[in-house]
Amino acid sequence: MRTLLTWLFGFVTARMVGSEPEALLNQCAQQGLTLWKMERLDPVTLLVKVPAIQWRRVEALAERMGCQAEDVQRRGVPYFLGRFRRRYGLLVGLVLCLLLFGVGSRTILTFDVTGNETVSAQEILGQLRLCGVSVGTYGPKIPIRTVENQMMQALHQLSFFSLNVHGTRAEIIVRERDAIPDLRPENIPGNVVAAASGEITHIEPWAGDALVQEGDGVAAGDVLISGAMEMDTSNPLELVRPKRLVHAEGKVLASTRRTLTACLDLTAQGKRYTGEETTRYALSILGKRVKFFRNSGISYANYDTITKLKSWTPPLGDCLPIVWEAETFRAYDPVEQPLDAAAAEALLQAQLRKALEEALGQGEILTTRCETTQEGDRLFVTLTAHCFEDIAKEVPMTADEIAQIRAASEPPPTEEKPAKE
Amino acid sequence: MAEREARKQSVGERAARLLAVPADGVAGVPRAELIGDNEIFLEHYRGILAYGKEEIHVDGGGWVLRILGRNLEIKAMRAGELRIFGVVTSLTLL
Repeated sequence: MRTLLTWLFGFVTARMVGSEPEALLNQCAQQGLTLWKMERLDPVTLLVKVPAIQWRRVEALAERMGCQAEDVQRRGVPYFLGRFRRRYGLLVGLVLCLLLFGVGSRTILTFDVTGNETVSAQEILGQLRLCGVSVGTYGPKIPIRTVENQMMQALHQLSFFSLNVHGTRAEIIVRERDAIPDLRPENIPGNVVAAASGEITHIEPWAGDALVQEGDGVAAGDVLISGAMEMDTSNPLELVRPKRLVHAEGKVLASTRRTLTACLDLTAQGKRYTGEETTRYALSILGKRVKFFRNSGISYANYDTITKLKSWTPPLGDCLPIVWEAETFRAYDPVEQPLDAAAAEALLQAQLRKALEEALGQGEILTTRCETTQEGDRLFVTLTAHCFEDIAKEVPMTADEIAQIRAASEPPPTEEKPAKE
Repeated sequence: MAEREARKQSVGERAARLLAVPADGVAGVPRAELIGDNEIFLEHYRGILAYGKEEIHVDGGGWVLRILGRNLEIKAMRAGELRIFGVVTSLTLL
């Protein structure tokens, strides 16, 4: 510990020459000066070590006592740093480093977005950028409350937005607004029509009058449940029954047949690389791109662009916004390449089956049959499926339909009898 | 020895002896501590009279401590404290 402190504060190894060097040692001790590692070289010469801070006093004392004191060696941190006092470049570098450390440690380098489910982090960060906060923004200068209010106004999907700056990391915590539930448009009159052709196997009207029954065959677009409900009357002799307009609803299960067709060219455009390629480099610092090339135009007619990005992530830290970009442009000539017919057929069948499943929703596929034909260079695949599905589709009534129903349900005009005088 | 016994004791020394307390702590009487045969620690000394690798004379006020040995070296020296390293072969009060 003592050795460490000695080096930290510095020391001088001094040679003292005089007729009575012991007298000088005694004077130094009386003056409170610390000396150590004294070595007697000859009867008139002593080698001692003196703390750097006391060396001037020892020197003055030696001069007063008629001794000669000279420093043989200077060691320690003060003398080490003293070597650089005339190296102004280093001093400027040190100042810049301190400045960079001071400013850099408060500049936002990374963002952490938490709490978002439907609104993407990119969307939030993009809006935040419009509010003036992005990578490279000086943290203490951000008007956090104002930015939070602006973000809440800009993103209506959010019910809570919080921005916290921790050094170089900006933490964004959001809460999303609950989605408004789909309300039934009960006040809009509508019918239930068939979404596909088929044979009704089960019908269950929840609102409206069923116009078809089990076993009936229907075509796509036929009205299955009408939104014009006949109202019951107390008089059985009344011919014209008034109608009430409702938003028809119900479940209509049917056995359907669906036919889907897809085609694919058996020749595809491929690439034959010519071997020519150009690579360009750029460095992106805090979102600012520094290009290391002059001409940004590419002379190739057809080319692929391959971009490789490299950035450094410190241990236990986040990825720093300093990215080295290498863009390689590889030229090619387009060539026609034949496709394998079997592979193309399998691909089309898979795509058709996927499309059918999407169209059916919760329906069930009972049987499927695929037919493949080739016309010239094109391959056609037709998928015929026997399905069991809900074909009810709610459609609002048109204004004409509504007017027609209302007119029909009005009672016939009665003749007015002249009043007796 | 007789000469040493005849040395005049200071008032502090006499008071310490009377009160049966350590004289070094009360009266600032020089105190020498020999640690093994290679280190001597001195307190309340007056000064160094002679310094060499084989012989050191330390002024203790009323007497002089002569230290004989080999490779003697003053490791640290400050007001009132002196630490000497080296192989000590003899200590004599003169």
